[in-house]
Amino acid sequence: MTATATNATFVSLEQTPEIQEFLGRPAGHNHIVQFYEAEDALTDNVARFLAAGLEGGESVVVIATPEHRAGFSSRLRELGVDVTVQIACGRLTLLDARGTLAQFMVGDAPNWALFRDVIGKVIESSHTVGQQRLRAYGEMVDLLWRDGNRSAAITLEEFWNDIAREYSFSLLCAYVMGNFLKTGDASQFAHVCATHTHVIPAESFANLRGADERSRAISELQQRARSLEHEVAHRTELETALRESLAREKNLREEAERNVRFAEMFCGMLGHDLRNPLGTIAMGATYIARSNLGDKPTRTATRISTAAERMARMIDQLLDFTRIRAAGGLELHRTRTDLVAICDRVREEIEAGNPQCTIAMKTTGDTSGYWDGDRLLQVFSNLVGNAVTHGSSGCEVSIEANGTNPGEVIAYVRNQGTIEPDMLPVIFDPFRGMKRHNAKGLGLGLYITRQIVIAHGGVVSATSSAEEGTRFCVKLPRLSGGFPDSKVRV
Amino acid sequence: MTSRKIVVVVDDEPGLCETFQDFLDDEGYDVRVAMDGAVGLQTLKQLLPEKPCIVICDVLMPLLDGNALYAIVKADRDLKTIPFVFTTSDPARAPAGELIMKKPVNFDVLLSVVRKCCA
Repeated sequence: MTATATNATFVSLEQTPEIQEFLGRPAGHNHIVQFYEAEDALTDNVARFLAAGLEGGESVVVIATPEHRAGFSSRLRELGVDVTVQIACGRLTLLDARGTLAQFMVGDAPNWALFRDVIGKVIESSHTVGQQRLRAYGEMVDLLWRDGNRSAAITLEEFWNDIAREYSFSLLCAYVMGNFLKTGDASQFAHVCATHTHVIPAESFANLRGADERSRAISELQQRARSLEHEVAHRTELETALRESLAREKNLREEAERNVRFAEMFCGMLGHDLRNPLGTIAMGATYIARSNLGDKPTRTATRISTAAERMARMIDQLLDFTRIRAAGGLELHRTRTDLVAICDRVREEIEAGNPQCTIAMKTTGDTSGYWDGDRLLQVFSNLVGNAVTHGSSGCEVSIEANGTNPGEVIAYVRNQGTIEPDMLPVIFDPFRGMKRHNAKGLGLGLYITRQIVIAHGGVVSATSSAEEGTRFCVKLPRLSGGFPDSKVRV
Repeated sequence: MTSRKIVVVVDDEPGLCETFQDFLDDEGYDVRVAMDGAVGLQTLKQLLPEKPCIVICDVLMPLLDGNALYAIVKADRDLKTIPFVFTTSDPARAPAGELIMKKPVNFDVLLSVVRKCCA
């Protein structure tokens, strides 16, 4: 039941007598396939095939889409066929392709028994009109092909060949060429051709006149095919090279990332392990300083203590950096916190360490929210500390906390210093302090500040000009509405 | 039997233990040092029926860390009343609800805590 019509004959459908004669009198059991590029070409060729049959006294069956049935009917009328009369006397049968298909499809596949029953009845009904010869045009296979169900289309073609053994009729099928454009379509195209006794190429070839013109066209097509094969091979080579290159690049990137992670983890572990001996140094220095051993030992002990504190801050920054970069982010412990209390504490501590400085403080509205107080202390210690360190000699530093917005609290830290314009865009980048000759820290303070603010869902920004000085702005969403006082990993 | 009040210091950093010891010894306390939680527990049990007036305890230590030592002591009928103060570089790791001092420890604050517990 799966017979195929191999060794198909290619027929050129130019408007030449031999082609018209071929379509005019196809032999019984001829199973012809027409490929086409434009709808007009299909309409004309099929209408000529149908008209020739009707003129020759054959019964004609058309199984097509509503649009095509309308097009064929219109073209038949132009060719002088009285379509209404032909239908009325039963010589012309027009069936809907989708509807007919539905009668013998079971799932995604055509069923032979149902097909034989449905199509057999159509053929027998046409034969009872008194005509011995029958020709049919069908595009159910094209519909299946367009639907992407190609195996069902091939099976249906084979069913047509099988039923042609029981009934004498010629059959014309049509496929749009646009459905065979992919690289893998070649074998399926060949399979479609193999299931037909005759193949009519699309109109761009069929319309060529004369053997010489066709030979030239075939030569050009052969050249184009070779060229495309070469192009495909070349592109395949390039694609392989590109894939290999991408794989190498991916491996190198992963290795680099592993190295960076390792370096960051190493810094973190080293920083952690350094804290214990550093604690001993700091506390030992404090112990000496308070032991009244005289001015010089006390001053020395105080210097050791100050240096140890600076070193401890750097280690803390390094550990925060590691937490942010290599340990999944900062961990927040949110509780109800008042920003003014934090800023006051920062102000007092910094004024105590910088007696020449007076830090102005201005507050408006409700400045509380659900934040990690220790982390915000770190943020404002950094911003205010920087403002004092890098500000003008007069130490004009101010903090403003504005809580008039119900959704967020905005804090500004200002001084009269200026940040160099090329520094401003990278001010929150890590290790940017390495570029400064007089850098006292690692250049991580503002980076960590920004990460803490981001972890709170906020934003920190900086503006600076000679006229207005430098202003850091921190916007913190309050997260009011019952945010739980618990650890939040960000 | 000494008349001086006993303070136990548990910390795996030897230099820090010695600094605590020197400082508190100057202040008149009998300081016993343990280099990890397991030795700290052993020290507390060996002192019985006497008890230290306070344990100054690090958090991250080998063998038995500060959290584990604290949990064992608080579950022990004979030891559970001993007060703890935790000294750590990372306060988030210390047990909640206890006094925590960030390293490097401020001697004045530590002394006031010790004096209060040992009064």
